[in-house]
Amino acid sequence: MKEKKSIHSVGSRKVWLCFALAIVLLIVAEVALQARAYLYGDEKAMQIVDDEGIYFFNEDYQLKLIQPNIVSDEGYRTVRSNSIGLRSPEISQSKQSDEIRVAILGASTVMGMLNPVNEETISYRLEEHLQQKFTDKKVNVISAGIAGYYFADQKIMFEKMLEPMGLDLLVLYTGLNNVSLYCLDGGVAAESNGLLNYSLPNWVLSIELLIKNTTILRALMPEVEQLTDPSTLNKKPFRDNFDDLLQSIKSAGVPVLVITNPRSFNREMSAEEQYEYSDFARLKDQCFSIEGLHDVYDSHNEIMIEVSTSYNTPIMRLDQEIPGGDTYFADSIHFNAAGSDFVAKLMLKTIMEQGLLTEGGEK
Amino acid sequence: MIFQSFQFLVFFVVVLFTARIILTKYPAARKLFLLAASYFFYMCWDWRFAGLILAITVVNYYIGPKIEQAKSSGGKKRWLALSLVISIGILGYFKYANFFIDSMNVALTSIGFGGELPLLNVILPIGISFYTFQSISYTLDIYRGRTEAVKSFSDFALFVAFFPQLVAGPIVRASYFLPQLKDDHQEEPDAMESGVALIIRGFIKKVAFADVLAVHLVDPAFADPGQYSPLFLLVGIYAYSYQVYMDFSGYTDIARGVARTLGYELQINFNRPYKAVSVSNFWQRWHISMSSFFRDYLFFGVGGSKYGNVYLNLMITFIAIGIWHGAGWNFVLYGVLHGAFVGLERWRRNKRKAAGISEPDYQGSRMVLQWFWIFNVVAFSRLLFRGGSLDSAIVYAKAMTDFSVTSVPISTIGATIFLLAIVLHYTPTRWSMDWKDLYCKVPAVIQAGGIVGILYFLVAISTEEAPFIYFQF
Repeated sequence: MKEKKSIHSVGSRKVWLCFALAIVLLIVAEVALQARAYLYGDEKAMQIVDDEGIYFFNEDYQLKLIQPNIVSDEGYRTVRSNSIGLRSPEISQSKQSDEIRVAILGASTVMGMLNPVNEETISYRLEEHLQQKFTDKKVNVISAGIAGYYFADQKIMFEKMLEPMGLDLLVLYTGLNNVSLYCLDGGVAAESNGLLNYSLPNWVLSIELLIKNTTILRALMPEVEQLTDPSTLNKKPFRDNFDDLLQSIKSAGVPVLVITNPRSFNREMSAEEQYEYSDFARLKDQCFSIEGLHDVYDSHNEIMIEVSTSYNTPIMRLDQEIPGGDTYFADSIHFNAAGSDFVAKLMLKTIMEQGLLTEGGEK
Repeated sequence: MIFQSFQFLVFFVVVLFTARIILTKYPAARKLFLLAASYFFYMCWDWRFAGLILAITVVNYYIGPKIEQAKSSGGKKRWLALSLVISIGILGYFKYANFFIDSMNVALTSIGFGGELPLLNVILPIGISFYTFQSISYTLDIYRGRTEAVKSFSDFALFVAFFPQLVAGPIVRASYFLPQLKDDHQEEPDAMESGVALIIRGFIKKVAFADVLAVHLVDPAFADPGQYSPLFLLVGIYAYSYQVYMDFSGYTDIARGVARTLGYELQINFNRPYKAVSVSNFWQRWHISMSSFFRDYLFFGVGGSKYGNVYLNLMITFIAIGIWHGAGWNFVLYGVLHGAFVGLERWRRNKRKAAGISEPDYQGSRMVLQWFWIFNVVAFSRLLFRGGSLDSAIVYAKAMTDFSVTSVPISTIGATIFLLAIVLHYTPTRWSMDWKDLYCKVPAVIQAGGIVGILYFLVAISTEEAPFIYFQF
């Protein structure tokens, strides 16, 4: 029988060795993932340390923008930015007399989240199509979208950056980031009387990748999903914030076209297809079931239509016009090249039908 | 700061390193550090309740020697009564005041007086039932001569607040824990390794079993019983029993494991409860530290089987056990139900004894049937426990008789975990010892790989950082 020993000892050396090895293994795995992310140019720890991420916070505009004048090869895409930090060609601050100037204001979809090159973004394609219509003018379409933008960011971008540029038209394609706020306790953290509340930093990739690649282990049967019920949500903040943004644009006297938000999965698809195509949306808005996502996305579109109608603003029902599936979508909400082109053509058609820009010059 | 959080991981590593490496040659400083760490752990939930635990500690520390030094039996009783009144008074205020006010209002209304007594705006401090009972076990043990009054205030404060068992037990007796705080206390040579093995087992029970059963089977069934078939609701009831077992015994394993890595032993709290052959046997296997507390201090206190009516004594004890779990008539009824079953079993045993018939010897299929019967008694009585109110339990029970609903949405992962939980429960007990021995024998590098692999698996399967069920008590 082994002898007992005093508790006032360092304990088992084997346990300490085991702990050390476990920590080393965890660090090695994390470093490998970070290195991989670094090679692909994603915004993770090493880039944050090196201050080489593609984004930065612009103090003048009080906005997250892309680093100015960079060509960032991120593996799955190459981002070229202009001097003001947009994924868009260089543009002067003031509009020329023979120029038609349009901006598409939005978030990751407008920025071309999954478009490998700038030429596949919606703004680039719209510029090409508009240029063919307005041959006697120089058409510039500014891609005014940055991944992760909410209404508040878009309002700041409009007021501080876009409005002074003398736009002939603003296309407002807000994106779906505002939905994620519902999954963060309605965007308001619960009050805590605890001493400390720290958590794993959000740049740790081991956890993120594990969760991302194992959704099947946590998938519930559709009948028992006990996630956020969209009917219980308080959608007033969404309405108020969108109203605020639209009011700001309208009061500046800039013509505006509102685009409703589409998705690659719809209720007409089989359950398997909906599951497959909703993968990114379920990851982004984790507190909703697929049916919940349908409800909340649709209800947000309805609110945007109601508010836009109250301001007599033209609306393009992209959610009804674009087919689901992978023909036009690269994931649940972002477009591939064909999608960008489809959207650009539809925008052109709506702009012309609504007379938002007239041939031979701006309206 | 729940165990399965990053916050706790950092806290535990810092505490273990400091206690084992930095302060290993300074026993007094080590204990003071563990005391400070325990208060910090509690204050991470809500710093406002640190004063409460300190007050209970000071009161009982002061009264302990008074009981010991009292010359007369009456004097000892008076000091003990003071300890009980203050400790249980604090517990009663925070946990039961609104229940009594609400019940009073109902009673006044029913006799035409209009019950309008305002409810109190109080928050239930986490773990209050556990540390209150632990504190009064000290004065009760001194009163009964089972332990001596402790001289060191910091030792007593550490006993009350020791963080591994602070918020959900096991309820450690003073006579069991205080001797471990002496400087010459020794531990088993493989204590740290077997402690780590216990922690791993506890995390698997909590994250891979309890939380998965909750999300896939139990929560849906209890959230909207009318939506599901009787078969799914039956699975929901059974799964809840395994959920609550895996949850609570998982917590106990982690608590015991953490304590053991620091050099201290906590009491065993579970012994395969669903292998019970009677309801009284179930309570010898389930939450042992609590049931033995009520047996030793309440059942024997009111007379046990020697004085008064044993059936009444049993009923008082089980109603107290019910109320310990929560303030509500559903918990009272839960206690009454179990008290009735235990009383009935004792009555039958007495009858058999009087007739010279020996106790039944359960073997083979008879034993399995008996396990199943007792499991059903326990599982169905927990309708009162899980539903949260009498009304919810009735709604669930009614839905179980609606055979027009046919939905049985059991996912593969839910079914797999449920069946695995059942199979593991009935494996030979020695297998769990074998697992610990196996873990201790393998080289450190394999242990480390195993820890990382299990950590990744738990992160992958984890639905959320769900608190342990027994935190609410």
